[in-house]
Amino acid sequence: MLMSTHTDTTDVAGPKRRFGLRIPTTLLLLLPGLAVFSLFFVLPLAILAVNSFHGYSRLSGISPDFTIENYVLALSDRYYIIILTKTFSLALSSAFFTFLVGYPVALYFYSASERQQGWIILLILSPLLVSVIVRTFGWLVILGPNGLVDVVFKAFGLEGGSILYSQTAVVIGLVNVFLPFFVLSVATSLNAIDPAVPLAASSLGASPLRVFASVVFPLSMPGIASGLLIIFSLSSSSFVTPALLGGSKFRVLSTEIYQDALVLQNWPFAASLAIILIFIVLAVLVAQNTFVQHSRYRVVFH
Amino acid sequence: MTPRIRRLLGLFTALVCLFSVAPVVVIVLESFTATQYVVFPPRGLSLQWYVEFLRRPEFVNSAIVSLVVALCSCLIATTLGTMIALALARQSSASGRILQSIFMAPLSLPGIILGLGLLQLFAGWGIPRNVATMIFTHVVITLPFAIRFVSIAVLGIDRDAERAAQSLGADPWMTFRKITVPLIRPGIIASLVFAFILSFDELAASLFISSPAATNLPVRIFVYIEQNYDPLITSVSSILVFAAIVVLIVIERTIGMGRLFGLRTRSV
Repeated sequence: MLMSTHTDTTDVAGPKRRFGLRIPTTLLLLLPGLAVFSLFFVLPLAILAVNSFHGYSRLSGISPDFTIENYVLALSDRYYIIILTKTFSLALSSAFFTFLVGYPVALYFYSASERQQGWIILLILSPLLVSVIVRTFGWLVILGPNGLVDVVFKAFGLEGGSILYSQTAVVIGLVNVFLPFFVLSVATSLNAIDPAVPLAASSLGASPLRVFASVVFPLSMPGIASGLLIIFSLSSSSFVTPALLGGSKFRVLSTEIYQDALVLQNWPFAASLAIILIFIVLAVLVAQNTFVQHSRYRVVFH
Repeated sequence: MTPRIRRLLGLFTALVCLFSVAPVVVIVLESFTATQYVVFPPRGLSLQWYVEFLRRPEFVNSAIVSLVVALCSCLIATTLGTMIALALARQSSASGRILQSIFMAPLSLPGIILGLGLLQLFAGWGIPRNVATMIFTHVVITLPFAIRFVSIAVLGIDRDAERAAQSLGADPWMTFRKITVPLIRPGIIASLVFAFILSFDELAASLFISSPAATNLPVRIFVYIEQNYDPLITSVSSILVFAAIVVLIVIERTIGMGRLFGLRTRSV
């Protein structure tokens, strides 16, 4: 009995000493990061969640009582239903048009020479390094009064049918901003295709169109699905582009949050809209993890 | 693919590439306009709007704030990211992987929501909105990238190199300094430059936590555009573009844009 207890302790002492060294090291390495993360990420989200259940009046400010009034209003009032619908339609159309613009580029990238690939990477990816505010302002200059489109239209004697401050302008801006993510997503899944597979199809007599339709396109589906979901999620929460290219009458969830929080100072209601937006983004994330084999097709972003 | 389809695809790709860079190119060209109003294509060639930028203390001040915030947050995020990557990258345990995905969460959170949450936190707890709080906000936003880039580098290390150093008598700190750090340097550089530019460009979250004490350049631009429309913003915006070009050169010299985003090219 005594012997066995003795051997037990020595058996445990070996690994224990090793762990005794390793766990504190790991913990020490993680501690500063966890501290910053908790203070500047977890805490603000918790406060948002709590505040979203508080009331607000213009006279007395935030009241500390518990109420679900904000959520009821946001999910039943006609004005906010329209905003939610608009947010969805904007996210859907920008995902769709990003697919139309981006898929052929990814396809060409797949079969391009090394030099061409270098150029595509440079021109498609490097705008990611430039602030969204700058790229959006660029569209303001292109689409705005005396802008490129306006000047070209006038040169042909046409009425400069301005598309600025419309959903079209916002979609153009969003497609431009999110294009790199879609191309990355599809190019990654195309890269994963074994070149022997399309080759085998064509050597068995399939026409180029048939090879694309029955082999390449289906194999790139995970990249397409993942890309579409990423663009949907990013578009539904984008703020700068709708705010600047959509004009003051263009209201989506994000611009409404900004308006409620910074102009009207109704923080509890803004918080409830923010929580609703989080649920939209989370739903997309869950869809992505369910439908897409994420580990293999995941790009660095997202 | 038939040659004709290939040519068509190539043409389409070239047009999309043009579309991709168009807004940035337009801004930089417009910034040299000699006119008093925005007109594209620009007329004349002048540096007047850059001079105007230097004459506006609020813009110069914001440029300095942006630079300080970006430098500090990229250093802090990379340091914390490296520590986290060293602690977690080689862990295959469930808790390790859960921690890793928790640290990636800010990637999925829209900037305006983080900004709104921080605004309400700062106001509720009496925390001042200044350069320091902006730095830590940007640290949270850039930390996932720092962890990701350094983790990839850590996973690429041949562990035998570290074991050899230790068997030759190096203590853990010396092994870390002489073996680990040089081997993960590309990941650290990628993290530094990418975190820098991400912070330098950050608007959505900063919009909510900006204050007279700390307004970074993107926020200053946004607020200005809401009220005005003149070429001054093109010269201010060009500064963000020039910063991006410097970062692009550093990335191309070290790991390459394609690899930074996990994309293989033909040669690899």
